[in-house]
Amino acid sequence: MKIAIIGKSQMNGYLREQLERGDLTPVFLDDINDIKSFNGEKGRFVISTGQEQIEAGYVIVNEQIAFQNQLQHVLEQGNSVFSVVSDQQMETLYETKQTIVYIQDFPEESPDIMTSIALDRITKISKMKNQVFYLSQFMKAPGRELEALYTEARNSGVVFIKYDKLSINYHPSSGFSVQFFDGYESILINDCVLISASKLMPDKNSNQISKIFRIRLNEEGFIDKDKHFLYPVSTNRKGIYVLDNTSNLIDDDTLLSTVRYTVSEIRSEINKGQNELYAQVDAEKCAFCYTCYRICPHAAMTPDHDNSAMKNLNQGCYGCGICASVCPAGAININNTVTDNHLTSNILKVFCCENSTEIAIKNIKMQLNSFYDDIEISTVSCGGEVSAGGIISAMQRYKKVLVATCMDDACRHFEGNKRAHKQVLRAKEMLKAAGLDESRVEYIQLSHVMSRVMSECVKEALA
Amino acid sequence: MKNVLIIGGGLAGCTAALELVSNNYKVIIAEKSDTIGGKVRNYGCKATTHCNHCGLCLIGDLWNRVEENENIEILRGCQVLDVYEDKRGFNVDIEENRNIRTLENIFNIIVSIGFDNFSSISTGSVELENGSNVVSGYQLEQMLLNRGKNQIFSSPPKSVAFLQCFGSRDIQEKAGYCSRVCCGYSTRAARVLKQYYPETEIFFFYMDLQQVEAREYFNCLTHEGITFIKSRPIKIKSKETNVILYEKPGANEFVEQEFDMIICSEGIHPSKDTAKIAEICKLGIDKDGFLKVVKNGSSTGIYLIGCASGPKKIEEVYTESLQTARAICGGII
Repeated sequence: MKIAIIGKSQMNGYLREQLERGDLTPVFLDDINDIKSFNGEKGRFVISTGQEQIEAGYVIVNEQIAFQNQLQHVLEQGNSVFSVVSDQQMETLYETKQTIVYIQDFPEESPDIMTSIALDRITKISKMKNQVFYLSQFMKAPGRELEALYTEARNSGVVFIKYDKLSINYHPSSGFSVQFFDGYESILINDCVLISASKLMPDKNSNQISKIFRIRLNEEGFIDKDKHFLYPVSTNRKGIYVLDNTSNLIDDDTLLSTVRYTVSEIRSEINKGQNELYAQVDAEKCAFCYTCYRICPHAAMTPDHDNSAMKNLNQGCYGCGICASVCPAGAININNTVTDNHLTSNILKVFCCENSTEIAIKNIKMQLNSFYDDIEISTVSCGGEVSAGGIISAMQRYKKVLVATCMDDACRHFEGNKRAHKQVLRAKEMLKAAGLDESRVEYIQLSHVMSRVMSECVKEALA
Repeated sequence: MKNVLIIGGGLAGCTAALELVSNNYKVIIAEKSDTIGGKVRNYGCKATTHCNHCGLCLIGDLWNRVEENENIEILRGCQVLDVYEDKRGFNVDIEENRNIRTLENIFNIIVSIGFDNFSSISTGSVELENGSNVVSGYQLEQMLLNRGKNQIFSSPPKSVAFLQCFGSRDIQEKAGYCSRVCCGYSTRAARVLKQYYPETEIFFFYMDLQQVEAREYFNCLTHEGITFIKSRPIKIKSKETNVILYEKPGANEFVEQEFDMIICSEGIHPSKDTAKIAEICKLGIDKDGFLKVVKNGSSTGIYLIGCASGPKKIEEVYTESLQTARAICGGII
């Protein structure tokens, strides 16, 4: 099976090696801008460049995160500052006789990887017998070797100072002077050379990447893999992974093991076989309005122009049900088998998300005791599956409805829980308009370990 | 079906177990206590009005799924005594509730014995008298797990002090390394405390702070009302109240400040069983006292995962365990 790798990276050689060990064939596409179209689903993607069509089962995107010197833009033109991430620039400092000051976290917190990079580079310079000051607000290190790096730096003579306030001035005759307050006193270092930390900037092609592959970007413009369930390499779309190149600059094997993990994820997905839980669009009813296409958090809908209807990409679908609940034509249903638990109660119906509240409520079965018989639990793949209409029709049988979903930012379908909240508010309006008690429906968001909170909410609802 | 023995039924061991059984392996978990779950089963969610990315959700229904799986045998109260090899695989002598027996034909072994908390190791530390309302990080986790809608403690504390790097980063305490997770769990826990008790004053006594999330994390916390003091307490007196003696930064003087509650953010320390398991499973011990592999698992058949080999975050343990289980199944690391 072919695996498409987008973008250049120093890891591509290692990636090739790992993929080939797993009987997978890497296909390298260095420039995203060569790609004219991208279609298909996990296991069967089709990439068209100007010259050819490539069928790849999976895609790995090398996110080329850029570094931006944090100090450069606070200084005037012509006053140059060295960049700690540039090996070339760092080496030119080995021969200097001037005092060297490295500044981190100014004017804003530097990314955590800066500490690892800086400790390594600064120590090398210090070993050349230069006086180096390391100024920071917060020491951070993503790896385990913080203490070893620190010790080596201190032993080579680096002076570490935590500052609270800092200002930089430039005198044409004497160079930079740095004034800062370390919590005890104000200190001035004159006539020095400055090294700056860098902040991370999104890949210059990130918008193009997001558009072509239909993968989410986060608020800062980086490919979104911030959520804990995406760690370390997943995106919102099945079959598309992202590797970020920044840890290439530090000499540890985090990136190597991330590459191995990515290959093992791909092989695991291949071994999983066909996905059995997906949305089905009734082409007769579909109005081809593109609502589901736009709303799907996993880009699992594709237009079928021959039939003037949307088609679900079964292998890329999570069966979350958000499309079904927003479809204005009611043309979508999820092929899951709905299991209702007891059907003996007519008091309280609880819609529970399988990723969080279903687990929480299972764990309080014993505490709830006899109350448990008063509850009927309906498990949903995602809160987004719940609609105002569904809530109101549940009320034909149940006195109260409780919609319990994952917390904001924990929803595995990104905004499913917020949609559920909106639907609850809509249901409340409908109840109010009908002259009924709008407190008959309530919304809560919890995680899977908040059992006691769940128990209190359920008891309140039953009261 | 091939048998894999997993020593230690915590997050790492259980994650690996489920991945193995989904690939048609049979798993035996040897757990020394009487429940699986290790430490993580007792951790609480750190969400406030939104998820704070503590990683606990990755676990989902792990414990129930392991307990209910017919291809996973859980041996409780079980200690591993010896491991030896013959042509067919490993034979492992175990002691289970005073009975000694041998598990035969074990294809692979996974060592996931986890870690110990500082509070369960006495190494001599900053002077700490047993007092009211001095809790360890682990105890705080359990309180967060059991919190109600509006209540964590029996009464709202007026002031709380978090002592960071407690038992860590101090060579005298034989823990000259950063435990990596304490800044994360304690700042997240502090946010939950602020949400439940907005009037409570929260102070962090720290040396360095790990960046927990990108983007202005500490400035945000300061705006939320958490005060950071860069000073390591000298003495804690706790009789009727808790008083911390510390050197006030920038003031060249010692200060005594009273707190309703003190939380000792303890780190991750090597398990008491490290030396024993190292010998039995032919693993090494690194300079910080954690287990390490001497020869690759793929050649020895014995793998090492989780915090047994050093401090790790939940998501790191989760992915490492999945990866190792897959390596055993697929033969490729």
